[in-house]
Order: sequence, then structure tokens, then C-alpha cells
Amino acid sequence: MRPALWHASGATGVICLVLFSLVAILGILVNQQGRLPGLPRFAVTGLHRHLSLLMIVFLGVHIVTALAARHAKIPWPSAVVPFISGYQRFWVGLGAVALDLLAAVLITSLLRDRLTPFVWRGVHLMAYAAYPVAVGHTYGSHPDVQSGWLFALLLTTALAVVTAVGYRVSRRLRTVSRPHRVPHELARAARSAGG
Amino acid sequence: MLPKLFASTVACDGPEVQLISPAPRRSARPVTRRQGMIRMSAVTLAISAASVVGSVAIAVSLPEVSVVTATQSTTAAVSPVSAAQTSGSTEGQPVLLTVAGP
Repeated sequence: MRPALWHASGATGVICLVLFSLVAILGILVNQQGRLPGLPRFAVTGLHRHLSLLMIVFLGVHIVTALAARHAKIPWPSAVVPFISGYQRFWVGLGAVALDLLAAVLITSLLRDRLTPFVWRGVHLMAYAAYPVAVGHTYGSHPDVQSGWLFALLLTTALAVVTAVGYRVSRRLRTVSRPHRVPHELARAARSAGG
Repeated sequence: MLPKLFASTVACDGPEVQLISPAPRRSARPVTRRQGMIRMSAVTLAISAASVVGSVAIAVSLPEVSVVTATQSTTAAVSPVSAAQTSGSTEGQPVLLTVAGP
């Protein structure tokens, strides 16, 4: 019974990271006003939200099964308080850090109507900090993820997210902000007319 | 459509003017909100099902672990295993051993 719980915790943890990657990529797609084939724009935003909630469900199962598998003796408070677990203190602590960051993102998203866009956006950006922490937790806390096809899966999802983040950053650097857009276009027209 | 038609009208100059309208483009039909909702729900359901199946597949593919009871006799049998490779070593409790090699 105990190993079954431990295996369930590991499996849901891996799936949780895959879902986190999907959610992050969809979030970047929403931010860039991108589309998926066959889906209108509002459906991409809805998919981002639905998969976020699905990820939270898997995260809950991952945490509960990890704490219930008593062979590791992970105390309940260590799920939310980082670096107090006697079992793999650092790696489990990373998981607690990721959970706290994601909880902040989730709560502010649920209360988005009551928050200013600046506050919501600032907290939402913490998801970018939570992702590498979650990857570190997944890699370090389970030896089976450090080799084989699970490692390949971890690497593929992480690379996909890094690519999406790189795309967003590059677009951000190339985009002219709205107040500077008209002077920028005028200067460009003057340059082309002069040349 | 209107500017193109206007431009072709003024460009034609002669006694016989024939306006040839361009071939109608086969534009993709816009997705209605209801269709969008249905597709979004379908994708969400598909990913949810894949997640459940995937988690079961991963759980099954994880290597078997040996569960022994840390009694006096088994302690002697697993004595080469270092303390770093064991966890939950309370006497009488199940112990998860990770043993490298055959």
C-alpha cells in the first residue's frame, strides 16, 4: 500500500510538471494574442484557465499521496513551509516554495476582479519563478526522473517552456511601446524618404 | 472588396467595359462562441484523460521497491545497505530500500 502511494505521488508529480509546462506555454500564447488552430482566442484563454485548475488537482493528489506514504516521513507542515522536512530537506523544500508561489498566483487570479491589473500582473509573473523551482524539485526528489524516458520528458517540457519564454522576451524587446509608436513610425518614414 | 472594385472601374477605359469580379475567396467560416466553447471543453477533456492515463502509466513503469520489515533477522540481511539508502528505519515499520546493482 505504501509504495503504491509513493508511486502515485511520483507519477502525479511528473504529470503536474507537464501540465505546468502546457499552462505556461498557453499563458505566453494568450499574452502574445496568439491562437491555436481551430480555437478562437477566448478559447485559448479558457484552456489556459482550465488546465491551470487541472494542474492544481494533480498537485493536490501529488502532495496528499506524498504525505500519506509514511515511509518517507514527510511532515504535513513541510508541504507549505520550505526546508523543514527531515526527508530530502532541500528538494522537498523546493516543492514547498513552488507550491507557495503557485498558491499566490492562483489566489490572485481568483480575486482578479478585486485587484488592480498591476498587482495581478506582478503576482502572476511569479509563475515564471515557480517553474524552474518545480523543475528542480521534480529532478532532485525522485531518482527515477534523473535518467531514462522520464528525464527525456522533463527535458523536453522544460525546453519547450524556455523556447516560449525566449519568444516572449524577444517579441517584447522588438516591440515599440505605445507612446513611442507614432514618433517611431515617423522617424522610419523620414529615413526611408531620405534614403 | 470595395476599393478594389473602384480601382478596376476607373482603370478600365474604352467603349466596352467589362468588370470581372475576382473569384470569391473561400474564407474560413468564423467559429461561433458555442463552437469555441465545445472545442475548448473537448480539448480540456482530452488533456484530462491523457493526464490520468499518463499518471497511471508512469506509476506502473516506476521500478518495483522492496518492502521489508526491519526486524532483527532482516537487519542482518540488509546490513550492506548504508543508512543513506534507507528511510523509515523505525523497528517494525516498513522500510523502502533502494539497492543498486543486481
